[in-house]
Amino acid sequence: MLYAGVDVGGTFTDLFAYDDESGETFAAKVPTTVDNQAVGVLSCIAAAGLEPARLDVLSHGTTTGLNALIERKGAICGLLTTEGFRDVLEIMRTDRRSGYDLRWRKPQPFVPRHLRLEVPERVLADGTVERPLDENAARTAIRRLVADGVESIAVCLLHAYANPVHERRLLELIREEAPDVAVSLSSDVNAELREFERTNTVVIDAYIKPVMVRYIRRLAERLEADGFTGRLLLMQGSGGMVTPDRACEKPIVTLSSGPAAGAIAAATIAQAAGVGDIVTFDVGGTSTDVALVHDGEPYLDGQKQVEWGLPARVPMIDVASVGAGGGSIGWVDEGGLLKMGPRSAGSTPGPVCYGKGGSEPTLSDALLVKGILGPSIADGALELDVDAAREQIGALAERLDLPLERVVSGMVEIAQANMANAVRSVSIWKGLDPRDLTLVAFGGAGGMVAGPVAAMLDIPTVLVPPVPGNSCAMGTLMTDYQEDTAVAYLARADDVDLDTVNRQLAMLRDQALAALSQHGMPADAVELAELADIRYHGQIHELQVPFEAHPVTGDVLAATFQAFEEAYEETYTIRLANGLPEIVSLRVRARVRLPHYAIPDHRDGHDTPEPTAAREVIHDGETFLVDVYERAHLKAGTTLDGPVILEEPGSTVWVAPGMGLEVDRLGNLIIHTLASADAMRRPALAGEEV
Amino acid sequence: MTTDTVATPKLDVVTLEVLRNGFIQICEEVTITMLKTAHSVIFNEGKDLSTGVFDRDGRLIAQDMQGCPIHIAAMPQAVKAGIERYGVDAMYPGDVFLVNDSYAGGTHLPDVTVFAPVFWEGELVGFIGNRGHHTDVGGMAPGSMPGDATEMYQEGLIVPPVKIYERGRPCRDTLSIIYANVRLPRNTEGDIAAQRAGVQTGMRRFHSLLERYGLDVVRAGIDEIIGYSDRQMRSEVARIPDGTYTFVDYMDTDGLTGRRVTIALTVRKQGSEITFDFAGSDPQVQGAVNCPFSVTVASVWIAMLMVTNPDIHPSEGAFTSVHVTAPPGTVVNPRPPASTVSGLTETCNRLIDMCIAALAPGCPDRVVAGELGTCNVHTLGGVRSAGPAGSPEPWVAILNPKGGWGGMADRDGWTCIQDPLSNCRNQPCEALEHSFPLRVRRFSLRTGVEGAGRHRGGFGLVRDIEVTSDCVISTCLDRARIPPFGLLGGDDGAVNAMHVKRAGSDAFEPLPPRESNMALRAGDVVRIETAIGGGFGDPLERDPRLVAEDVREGYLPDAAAAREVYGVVLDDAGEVDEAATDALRAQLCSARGEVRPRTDFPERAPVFVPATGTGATR
Repeated sequence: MLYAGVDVGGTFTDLFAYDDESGETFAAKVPTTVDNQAVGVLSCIAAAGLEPARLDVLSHGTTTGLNALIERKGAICGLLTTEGFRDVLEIMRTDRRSGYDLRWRKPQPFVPRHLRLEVPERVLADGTVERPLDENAARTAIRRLVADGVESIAVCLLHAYANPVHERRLLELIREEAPDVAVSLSSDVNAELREFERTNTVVIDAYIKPVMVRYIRRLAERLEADGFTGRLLLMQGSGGMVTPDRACEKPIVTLSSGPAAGAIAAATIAQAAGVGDIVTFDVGGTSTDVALVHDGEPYLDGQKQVEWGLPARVPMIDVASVGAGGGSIGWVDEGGLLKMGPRSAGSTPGPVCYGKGGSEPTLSDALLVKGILGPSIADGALELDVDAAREQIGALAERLDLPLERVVSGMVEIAQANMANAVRSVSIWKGLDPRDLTLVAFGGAGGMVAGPVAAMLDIPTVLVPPVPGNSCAMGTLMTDYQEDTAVAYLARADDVDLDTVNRQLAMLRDQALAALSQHGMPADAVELAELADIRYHGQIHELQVPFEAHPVTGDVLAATFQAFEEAYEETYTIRLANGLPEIVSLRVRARVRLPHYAIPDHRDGHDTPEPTAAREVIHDGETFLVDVYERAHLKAGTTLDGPVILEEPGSTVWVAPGMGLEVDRLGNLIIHTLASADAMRRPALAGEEV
Repeated sequence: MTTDTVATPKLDVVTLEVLRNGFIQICEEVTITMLKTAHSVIFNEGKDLSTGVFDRDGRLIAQDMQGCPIHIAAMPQAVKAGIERYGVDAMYPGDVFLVNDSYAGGTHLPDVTVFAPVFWEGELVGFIGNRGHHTDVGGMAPGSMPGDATEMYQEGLIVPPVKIYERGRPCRDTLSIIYANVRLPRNTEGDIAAQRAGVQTGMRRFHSLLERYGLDVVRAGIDEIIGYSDRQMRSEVARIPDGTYTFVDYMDTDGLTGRRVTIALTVRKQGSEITFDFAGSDPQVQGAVNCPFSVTVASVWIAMLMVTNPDIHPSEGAFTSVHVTAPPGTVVNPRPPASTVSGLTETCNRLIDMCIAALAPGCPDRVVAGELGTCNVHTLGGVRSAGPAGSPEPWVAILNPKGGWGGMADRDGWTCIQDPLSNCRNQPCEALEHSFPLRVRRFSLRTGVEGAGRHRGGFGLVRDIEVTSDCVISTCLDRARIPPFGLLGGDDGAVNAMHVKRAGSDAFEPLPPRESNMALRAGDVVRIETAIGGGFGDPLERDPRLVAEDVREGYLPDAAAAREVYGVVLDDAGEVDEAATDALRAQLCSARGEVRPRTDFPERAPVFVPATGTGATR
């Protein structure tokens, strides 16, 4: 069988494929086609030397939904909500992005006010219906939205997580009045407390739904026209896969799927190499994505901000993005300090050295002048203009009145420090000490900065997996089919009603199983996990804790709260002596196992690899003549001492002086960083030679 | 880059930038730790907390940029008060201090500051501090925000800078006095623990910077960071035209007798120095609107960051070129025991507004018209039965609905955004209903024709809350009589308002804006309406298409309002009739002569006397 994974990113579309019988693998990278991502997907398959007809499975990560949100090119979407609450979407949470910045513009809601209509009804916090739904008023509202040309309708009623009866009835009424309009219910998409977050979430789902449906239909048609008869699956932001139909029903689950796939790949590869606790480090052109993995499992986050202040509250792998990447621009501010980013040259015009019109020096330019990045990239397809890069950095150096070499090193050092701070924040949130983690670096620029970043954090080991430019595509072939359901259930530990808990869990199980069977997933191979989101009463940060047994008895519940308290102490390092835990939501996660790609043992390479080139690298004020190796020439077990550079198509890895390199059984590059810690601690005092 | 803005740094700029980010990172980690571990909803859901790092003299090095502006700007004064009281020789590793006294760098009593000295090789090198709004610190009203207080003793427990931990050991006597004086001791204990946990996290990070760079480099770095902020601010100040700027505004009342309070501001700008002088403001009052001088200074700092460049690194150095004077015994520099509870929540916002607006003639592109002008913090509280046993349990709900900001040169005012001194989040209706015997009946925008301008004011909100059990309400708001001002030709906005509809009645009656412990019966509905911000520029210059959009979206009531207020004629389809609009606007312009904004307080306009010129400009 031939399995292919294709991930569409902001700049590039990547493919990784393998044949599980012959062991043959394929990889390709083409520019993303923004208007219709299907074109890029097809050309990426072709670039790998494959035809759609040969593929048995195509796993696909897409940014179609996210792009529609960011560019505000989603559907004309209406909102039906409880009388008195149509402006919840616009009021938001009333905070501003920064305390002092008057230039900030408050984000516009995805549904304009004239398309937000109210219906008379009211459900109370405990699910009691206080005021029945006024069906005539509801029909009138639906007709008005239809007359205004909506393509989709989001429904969010107050406390609908506690009792969805009115939302369900509205769904029926919309089906009757407007059968062609797409509908999303808050009780389906996000049955959790807090009306702004829930409304915004269901609105996002409805806003991108018609766009996703169009995209998936177009992709399926094009694949079919080219003879594809295999199974198409879509990647979710939570790290599982879904069928195209399910993605059309609930498109919000596809948001953030690329970063999730990257985290899955890093977690899986590290696990195979015997490492469970890692921080992923995906350095792209404009940003660096960082995710934490504990015991082989990436952390999930309950929501993602699609734009500041606009959350999509569905489970997603918790990936933090910091505005520091290869394209980050170096500049001097009014106080005379050297800064890196957050502005980026992106892919157009790109770094100065690309020769595509970029005139502001970037991190990539600094890496080139420093000597880490070679004079050509992408297998020689792009010659880099080192003189132009040097000239622009020279202009910065003149303004700062510093030697060029110091500015080059400084640009890299500041960018690395920014990345290190991001890694630190992410790990602090999760209560993990960076020193206990392995940094798994991928993306085009990851290998060039990972060693020094790890050293800044006292992280002893960096792992660079094979084909690091295509990790996200690979990640789509390393995960399972997944269906998540959740419902709000608020109860303090001394006030839990076991019957309700078991009834709600049974309902969630039924929902999940129904969704699986409806989409052709075998019910007998399902793994079900039942979980509770628990926090201390009065707090807002919840931890997910599995119920140890089923059904939930008094003993099971006590054990669950006990597990919560232990997890809390592990995560937050303090124990609340008189804290009272409370359940916030109940969850069921259903998984159907899919075949996973496993990296085979690395058997290629030369017995005594020879450097293919040597170049001068500026490091810590000294110039080193550094050997450059083809990564493919190194066989398992090879060890080299830094400074050394490794190159492969689409990626360069820098092993700094004092660091050591080892190639493991699977062909991962392992960089031992700590030997260099003393060098990193050396203060740069004024007057010191640089 | 001119040579005078780049002094020769002692440390190289790379190390300096890495250190600077390191200090910001310390603040972020402290805040994360507090957010994760805090107990009260206002801490963790409301995000009403902030962090700063200080040098050994209590000078601010860095702050967390998501925090409450006012917390940070006043915190250095709290740390300095601690240093003054104890002296650094009486501070030891493991000490933790607590302070909330408004006359010792506090903001108002519920804002509790926890700070601790950082030692390295036996030497005190700096402080980590954080400030968070506690749900209750005792006093005459649940929630400790009595807008009708007349002396500070009524507001709650006053804690001068004291040790709550000495050499790592809890000072149990002090802590038990604190817990005995508050209504929700378990919350207080949890929040203090969260603040201490945050400080400890920060200390570890401070130590790792010291470990990496050594004491000498870090010390030099701190001085450089402060110098760097100074250079940044001076280059911004230099761009403001030299001369004298004046502005006057009011507090609705002194908080007690209903008498209006005048605040006068004169700004003198010369070269790269600027002075904000509040001489001419009313004497301190018996009510609660007295603004402690620490808060007055902090207000000016906030305004300067807003009106110049929010990217200036906000260390204490940013304000060495910014001077503040206010005669002692005035409402902006009161003597104890004057009550100051709404000096923070109300007067401080007024001061920030005034400082920004005064500069309008000199930098019209950067100023903003008047905003809601109040923290709008109201407290509901009572006792209800809870838990399976139905035992009585006190509850306190703090409401802080926010409103509209003024227009600016390039955009309309923000709708429903926190007042300038705060940056918290509102409470979700569903969470309120879960936690308290309340039902929210309406949560919508408050729109209207007020605040018209080339860029109109942002809108407020309306929140109707039914109480389902008997309880009391304490209110505290200003700009309930005198609306947010318009600027440079824009109209005044709309005032904040509170009403109650008694159970069984159909009519809303006004609720006094500053009164504690007013009784509510189950079934009463409280209505809070927040202000519409002031307009910026002449309404007749507003883009007619934006006016049409405002009518279509229901932000303006109807086409008649478009015509009357903006001189825009809409056709039956709601589109702009350009010819008719041009004609109407020409007619309105010639009829009125000069631009005359709709306001009952025309004296609230900035006056500028250029340093070299002769005439005053309005």
